[in-house]
Order: sequence, then C-alpha cells, then structure tokens
Amino acid sequence: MTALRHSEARVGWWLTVPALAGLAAFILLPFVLAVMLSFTNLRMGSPLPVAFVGLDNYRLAFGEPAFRQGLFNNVLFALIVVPVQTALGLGLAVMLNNRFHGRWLFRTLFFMPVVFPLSLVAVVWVLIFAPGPDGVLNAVLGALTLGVWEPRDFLNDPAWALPAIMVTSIWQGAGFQMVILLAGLQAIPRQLYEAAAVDGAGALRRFLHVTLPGLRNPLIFVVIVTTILSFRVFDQVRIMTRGGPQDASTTVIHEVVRHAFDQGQVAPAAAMSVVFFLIVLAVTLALRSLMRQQGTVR
Amino acid sequence: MAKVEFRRVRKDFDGQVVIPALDLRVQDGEFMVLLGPSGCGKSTLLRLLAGLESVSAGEIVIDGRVVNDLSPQARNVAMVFQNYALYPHMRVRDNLAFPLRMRGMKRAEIERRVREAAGVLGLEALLDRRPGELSGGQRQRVAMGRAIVREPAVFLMDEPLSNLDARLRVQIRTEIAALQKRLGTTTLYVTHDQVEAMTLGQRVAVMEAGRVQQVDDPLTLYREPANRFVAGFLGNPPMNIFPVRARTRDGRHQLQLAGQWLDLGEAPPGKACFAGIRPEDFGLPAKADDVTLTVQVEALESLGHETLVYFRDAEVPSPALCAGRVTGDPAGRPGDALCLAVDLSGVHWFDAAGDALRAGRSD
Amino acid sequence: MNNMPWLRVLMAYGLLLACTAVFFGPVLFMLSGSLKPDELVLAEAGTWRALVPESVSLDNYRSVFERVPFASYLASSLIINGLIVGLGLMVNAFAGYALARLRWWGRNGVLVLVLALLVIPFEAIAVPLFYQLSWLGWRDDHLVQAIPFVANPLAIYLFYSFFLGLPRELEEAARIDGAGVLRTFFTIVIPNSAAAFASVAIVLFLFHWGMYLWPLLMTTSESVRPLPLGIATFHTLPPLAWGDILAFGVLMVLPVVVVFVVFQRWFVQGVASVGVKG
Repeated sequence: MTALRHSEARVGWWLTVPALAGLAAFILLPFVLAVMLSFTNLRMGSPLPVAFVGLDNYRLAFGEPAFRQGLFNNVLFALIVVPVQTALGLGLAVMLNNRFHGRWLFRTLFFMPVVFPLSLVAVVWVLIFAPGPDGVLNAVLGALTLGVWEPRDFLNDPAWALPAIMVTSIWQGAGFQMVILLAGLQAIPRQLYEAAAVDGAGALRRFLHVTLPGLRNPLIFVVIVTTILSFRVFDQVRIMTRGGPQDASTTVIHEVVRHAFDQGQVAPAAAMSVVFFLIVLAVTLALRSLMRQQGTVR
Repeated sequence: MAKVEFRRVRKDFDGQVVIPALDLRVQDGEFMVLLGPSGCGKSTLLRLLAGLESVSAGEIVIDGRVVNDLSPQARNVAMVFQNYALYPHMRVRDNLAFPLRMRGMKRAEIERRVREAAGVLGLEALLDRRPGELSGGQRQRVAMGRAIVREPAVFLMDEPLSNLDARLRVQIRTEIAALQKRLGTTTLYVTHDQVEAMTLGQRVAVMEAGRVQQVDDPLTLYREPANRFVAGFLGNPPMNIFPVRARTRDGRHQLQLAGQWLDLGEAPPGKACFAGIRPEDFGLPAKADDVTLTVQVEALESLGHETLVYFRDAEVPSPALCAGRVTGDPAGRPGDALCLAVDLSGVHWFDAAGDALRAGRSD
Repeated sequence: MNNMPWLRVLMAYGLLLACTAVFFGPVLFMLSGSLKPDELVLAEAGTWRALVPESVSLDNYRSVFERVPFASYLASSLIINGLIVGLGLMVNAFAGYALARLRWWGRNGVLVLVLALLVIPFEAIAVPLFYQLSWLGWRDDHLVQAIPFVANPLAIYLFYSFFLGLPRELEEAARIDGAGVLRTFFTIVIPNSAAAFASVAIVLFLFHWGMYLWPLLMTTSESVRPLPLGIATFHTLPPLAWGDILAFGVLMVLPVVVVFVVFQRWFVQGVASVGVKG
C-alpha cells in the first residue's frame, strides 16, 4: 500500500467512525445484550444475583399462552396482511399508471395514510370501530347491507379485535406499496407492452407476461418490507386493544414490552426479542434468496 | 513541459493482470497517441499516470521524478474525460476556475487565466452558462479549457471526441492538434479510432492485451507494421492476411492467392508464414505486364470514387473476406468473375508468431 | 368491451372514487370531527354528518392548547426530529460515501455489518437499549430520544447506493484538478446529491415523527415528551373529548403532510429507487 492510499484510508475511516460508533452503541451492543440477557435470570427489582440459566427463559416464553398466541397472531397477521396489502397496492399502482387528469391528486390521497403516525392512525380507527349502531363502521356496514348487519363492539370482541387491527394496518400501509410498485411499473419499457400487443396478447396476458415479471424486484422488496413490518406490529395493538380481549390480539413485540415493563420480567422479554429477531432474519433471508435465485439483483 | 516514462509498469485488478510489464517513453512536448481495441489497457495506463489508479509494480516518472506515491493533485497533470466530467452545479466560469482555486491562486490571476483560456477556445459568450445548457461540442471545449487553464506539465485525454457526431469530431480534432502545437505541452491521447491516431499523433503506441505492440510515427506504422496485429488494426478495410503457399517454378518465385499462382519479384523470406496485402495494392488491370488475379466476387461496395471488392480465398478461414480497393466502378455483380491487378512489390511478410519479416532477408 | 369505452371510463372512475373513500374517508372523518363539538363526534359518526360537519368551530383546537401542553409536545418533536435528521444526514452521508468510494481496510466488513444491522428491528433491541442507557443514567431528555437514531443502516444504504450511481469521473476530475478527498466530497459530491439528501431526510423524518414505543420507555416528564405520546396521554385524560383528540391529531399530522406534499417527488424517488433495484 502506498502513501497515497494511506491518506485515503485514513479519511475513509474517519468518515465512517461516527456512524459506526452509533451503530455499535445503539444497535449492535443492545442486540448482543439481548442475546446475553436471554440466558440469565435478571428480573426488575429482584434481589437474586444474576446467574446463567441456560434456555429457561426460552422454555418459559414458549410455555406462556400469551406469547404463543402472539406468535400465532403475528403469523396470521403476516399471512393475511401481506397478500391483501400487496394486492391492493398493486391494484392502486396499476390504476394510477394510466394517464388521466388528477393522477397526482389521487396518488397523494392514497399515500397520505402512510405519513400518518401510527399512534394517530390507531386513535382514529378506535373511533371508526366504535361500538353500537352509531359507530362509523357499524353504520356503514348497516347501510351497505340494508340493515342486516348486527352492530358489534369490534375491539372488545375476541373474534374481531385482530381483524380490526389488520384493517387498520392495511389502510395505513397500502400506499407505501403503491408508490414503489408505481415506480416499478413506470420503469417497464413501453416497447414491451407494444411488442406484446403486436404479438396478439390481450390485457390479461400483457399483465401476466409483461407487468408481473417486470415488477418482480419491487414486488419482492415490498413483500419483504411488509412482512417484517407485520411482525413488528406494536403501536396499534398498544393503543387500540392492549392485546385484548383475553390476548386475542396480542403480538410478539407487545408481549416483549408487556413482560419487560409492565411485569419487570426482563430476561424472558429478551428471549422473546431473540426469537423475534430470528423470525425476522429467517423471513428476510428466505425472501432475499428467492430474489437472488432469479438473478438480476446484487 | 515534461518527459513521461513508464518503467516496467504492471497493473492487476483483483488478481487479474491488465498490464503485465510496460515500458514507454514520451518525449517533452510530444503528442503521443495510445491506440488499441477496447480493453487493451490504454485507458488504464492513462489513469495510472493521472494517479487515479495505483501501479502494482514498476515506476511512473514525470520529468525525472518518480510519482508513484503522489496523489492526483500533486502530479500536475490535466485530464479530459470521455464524458467531459464538467461539474454540473457550476457555471462554465467556475468550472474553468476550479483547478486554479484549488491551487490557491489569487483571484485576479484566476480571472485573467480564465479569460485567456476562454479566448483561446471561443468560450467567452458561454462563461455564465451551466454545462447542462451547452451543446456537445461546447462541453468538449469547456473540458479542454479546464485542462489548459492550469498550464499543466502533461495533458491526458481519454477518448475526448467519442461523444461527438462525425462532423464535429473532424473539426475539433484539428482544433486539438493546433492547440497542442501552439502550447507545446506533452500530451497522451487515448483512442480506439485509427483516423484520430493517424491525424493527431506525432507518434502512436499501438496496444493490445496490456502490451505495447509498436511505437512509431503514423506513416511508419502503416507502411512497416511490426506484426500482424498492427497490420490488421490500421487501415480500413484491414490488410488481407494470406497463409503463405510459395513455390519456385522455371526460376520464377510464385505465391498462391485465391487458388492461382502469381509471380513474385523475389523469393519470400525463409520463415514467412503469412503474407499481407493491403486492399489498395489491388486495382483494375491497366498495363499488359500487370500481375492479375481472377476472383469470384462476393460483394461490391461502391463508394463513388472507389469500389471495394470482396472475395474469398479458400485458405483464409471463413467468414473473413478478402478486400480489394479499386478506383472507378467495375461492372459486375456478386457471383461474377472479376480480373484484378495485384501489386506484389508491397507484400508484408510475417513469421509463424506474427512478427514482421523483411523481404529478401532469409534469416 | 372496446365498443363501450364510456362504460370503462365510468367503471374506472367509480373504482377510483371508491378507493378515495376508503383511503381518504378516515382522514376526512378526523378533520371534520376536529371541527365540531365533542359530543357530536360519536353521535354523528353513523351519519353522513361524520364527514361534513354542520357548523365549523375551532373550539377544539383552542382547547388542545389549553388542556395539554401542546406547544411543549410540538417543540419536543421538532427538537428530536431536527436532531435526528440534521445529524443523521451528516453522519450517514459520510459513511455512505466512505463505503461507496474510498478504499480503506475493513470497508467490506463494515458494509456487511451495515446490511446485517438493516435486518434488526428496533423493537427487538428496545428493551436492552433501555437498560443500557438507564444504567448510564441517561433518560428523560430530548437527546436520548434522538441520538440512538442518528446512525441509521437504511440511511447509510440509501446514500451508499446513490453515491455508487454518481458518475465517478466528476470526482476524478476534481482530484486531478487539485481537490483532496474531503474537498471533493464537499464541493463536488454534495452539491450533486440533493436528491439523496432530500429523500433520506424525508425518510428519517417520516419514520421518527410517529415514534411511540421509545419515548414511552424513556420519558416521564411531560416537558420532553413528543406528540405521539401527547395524543396517547390525551386519550386517557378525563373527560374523554374526542373533538379535542382529533384536533390534536390534525395538528400533529399537519407538518408531515406538508413535508410530504411539498417533497413527495424526492421521497418517491428515494424510496422507490431502492425498491426497484432491490
């Protein structure tokens, strides 16, 4: 290495140090700490000396019905929200990919919920899900079904609490997918559509053979992001249902926070965090390898 | 003013050898063109000299000083990039002033030099525009201006004309030649275009696969190519290369072309494996004693003042066609037989390795 | 189908309006609720008056300022987000540039680390980070809500991929013209990276404006709490006045909507480019 490269190397390091320090102190270190804590018996306010307890916390976590329910809810949440939200985002994007007046306005309107803080979204939807025939959703459904709909208390009904949170999340997130898929649509060369049309492909075939393949990368990207986000669900749950009724709408992160802060069970909470991280990692790697398998992406 | 010298310069990228061991000297004030196909290492050589890449081994010397460890800004070279690399957020004036400002020059001096350079290149009216508002030719001139304004020891130009249309390219080519002559600054000019190389270079270094194949003035390169690569790279259409099939019959030396035996003035050199004949050594028969060759025409391209005749020699591996350049407009169609005169006094001989041999020398 | 284009147009616009109702309805509901008396918010929720108030008054907005320290929440949110965006742009742009363009020992290792950290969700480390910082005695101020979010793997990655796409010759020309590495970065690279800076700024701002879990864990004083905690506090503050809460919500979301509407081109560019490339 020459003197010339030395000076470049020095600058390179100095430019990276601030970011690296931040990442190490506020992401890497707490993550390592979480892993370590998950193998100890640390409790808030407990006089016991901290000791290594092996996999006890993991056993405890998985032995807890609320945590298992949370895991189940997260998986269910992802299985429903990801496809529905992506399909909705794709539909909106395809619609807005046509040229018409006011396109900009509609894009802004559809995207607006994305910029709403989740805490606010949650409060607004608490009102929309309000019980009784005067609740917004109950009234709308009543009108649409010509009075057949029985008004119910969505957020306090074990069968409806989780779906209500799903609806809220889909409403908030679909615009995000739309924007990315719209950009993806616009990146597909027009000639491909023209070539397909010349070859005699109808609208459906053009969508299947030109649009979808052309959108592969953006689609996989939004699926990864939405999947991860649906495992991270917390704010809505905390504000709308507090995980209830009877844990019907709890999630992994909600359990983590509940254990760590409401009950002082730090170590089991750390174990849950580690489980949560492993799930997110697995999902990300699986989806990314799917993406790489098909080539074209670094 | 400066001499530039590459001594056993080697460059690897990720373990891949791009330039194995290169020696090259550029004289003070010389206009040296580096010519070769893409990927031959000519641009890399320029970037090594500029300090944008570091050498893996060997030395680069500017004016007797080894510059291997100097940063680009310490080497006092100026470079014109293929895409010009004008700073998009700066006006032309600031683009020209940037290198001077970086050297801490006084404002009045900067102002004077910028005006001078703009005058030389006819940029006065454009000084307050941004690069995005300029045409291709104007941008090219600004890039030249940014290079000359510093009065550097060496100019480096990396295919500076390749983004221009054909007409502008000719015009700016002559401008560059005149400018360099006037300033007398040592210049290294990289191109893959043989016309640029022939018209601009005092000397041309032809490169292939990281090696210099031949360094000579343009006419010598054309007339006495050192090997088959140089012979085939210069000239359009390129020199026809035939495998040598020679015999001596009735005391006359003969060479077989397109299945016919033609008389040679003298015997081919002993080691000759290939014979090279330029397209212009063919013609339409005019005199009775012309050596003639009857060929089966594959294609004819009429350019008005001349016609290119393409034919096949069974010994030359397909799909390569042999080309003859004849003046006038021979009547004929593909498939016809055509009688061509061949001037065999200018045959180039190459040995099995492709190196040139002198006729009559039997070593 | 093709011989009835007007039917298709009609259907298309019908679909558009339905989607608008779904996506904008709740927003309109919030807006209109914030402008009418508290008791009518729920009472009229089941009628079309939910979206169009009979009479408009700013009483709720007045009461937001009177009942809770709204100005203090807003100031906290602005300080926290100002710090995150301001410092975040600097720190992450530096790192992104060093990773994209400079050659130094350990660069590939750091790049892999950044990509790996991208996967760690904040929620998974919130608890240990809480203990880590509490152990240092650092809590309940503005800085503790901002500094942990300054270095951001996503922002580094956005900058990194943007700088990779910048034509290298610009920087090389500057180096040859006599500028050093840092000078090149400041005088040549930054002025040509407005799109990257704008989109990272917007991403950082949008992500952190609504931050709820972390301030909930780290703060106890009203004086340092940001808007999202404010609205939650409000929620539990008797009497439950829905009009006030919605007015608070409108005030809270207004800055983000303005930022988004003004800068949406940058935002779409920044986020979408990552998505399209993968």
